[in-house]
Amino acid sequence: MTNDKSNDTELMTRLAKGDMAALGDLARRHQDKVLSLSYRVLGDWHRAEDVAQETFLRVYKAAKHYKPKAKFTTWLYRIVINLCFDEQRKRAKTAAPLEDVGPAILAEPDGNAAERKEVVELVKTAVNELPERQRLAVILHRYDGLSHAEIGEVTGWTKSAVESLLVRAYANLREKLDKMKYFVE
Amino acid sequence: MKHVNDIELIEFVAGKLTASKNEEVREHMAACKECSGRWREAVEVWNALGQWSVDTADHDVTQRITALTEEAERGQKQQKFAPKLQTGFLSTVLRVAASIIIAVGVGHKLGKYSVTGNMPRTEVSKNRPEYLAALSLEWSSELAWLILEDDSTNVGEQR
Repeated sequence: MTNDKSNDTELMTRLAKGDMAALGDLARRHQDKVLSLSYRVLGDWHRAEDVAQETFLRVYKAAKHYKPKAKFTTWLYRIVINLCFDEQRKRAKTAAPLEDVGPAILAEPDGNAAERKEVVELVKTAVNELPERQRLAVILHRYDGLSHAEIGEVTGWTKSAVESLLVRAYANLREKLDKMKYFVE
Repeated sequence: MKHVNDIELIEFVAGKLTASKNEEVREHMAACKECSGRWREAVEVWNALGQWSVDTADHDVTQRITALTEEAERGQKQQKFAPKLQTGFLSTVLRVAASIIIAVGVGHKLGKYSVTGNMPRTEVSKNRPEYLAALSLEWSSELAWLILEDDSTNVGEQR
């Protein structure tokens, strides 16, 4: 982890000196995390890709002023989350695209694979139905493995606020998932 | 030990407790039916959430980013070229100004050697003021008013 951190810092130093290959390395290294986080928050690949692209462009622009105070990924996640918030605000102003309306169509309902796919859809629905802050806290905690303090750094919330959000979020999810216990078991 | 609180339970399931705290919670779970029941529910939720995996294999943005930054770099190079043009214009202005100063200086120095500059000065009589001599005019009373114009008393007398 320490090595990773120093490597990220080294890459940022190289990028600040104008070495564009360093940006490619950073993108290759972190794009999966950035894409999956933005996809889970936004629920749309097209927007998630736009956010990922914009995130790395911001990293590029900020490279000269970057100071490794916190973990690189924490700083990176903060950019992603801010961009996702911007996207959600934009989305709230415009009508939802057709692909996001209604339940997902499950092709080939075939045994376990189809059942699993359905469970995934239900989990996605349960997570997406959470209030925004709870949803974000759960995504960062469950899928990105961030600690309470790190979630606080990324979102700007206090540690106690993060803990309270996590407790409520997991309780809400338990309620929602109880209704579909058949699929979970 | 008192019951495991909600956040401790979440962190226990996530495997993020310290080794000592983890052991403490584990011991309590073994002895407390209520907490072990809560733990089973929490694990169930945790595992259900874990089924939502995201496959990013078809969504490579690295190439897009590289292309965009290369474009930005080209833009920056063009911007760098623009100040060069400004610097070139400034140096031209300075060169012209320097040329003018040198020309004036040289002209001033060379003025000493000019033919007219070295001509002996003509004798100017006491009665013929220099300015009249310069105009090749002889002193005459008709011109006196030009000299004495400012002196109202003299004007009257001369005329």
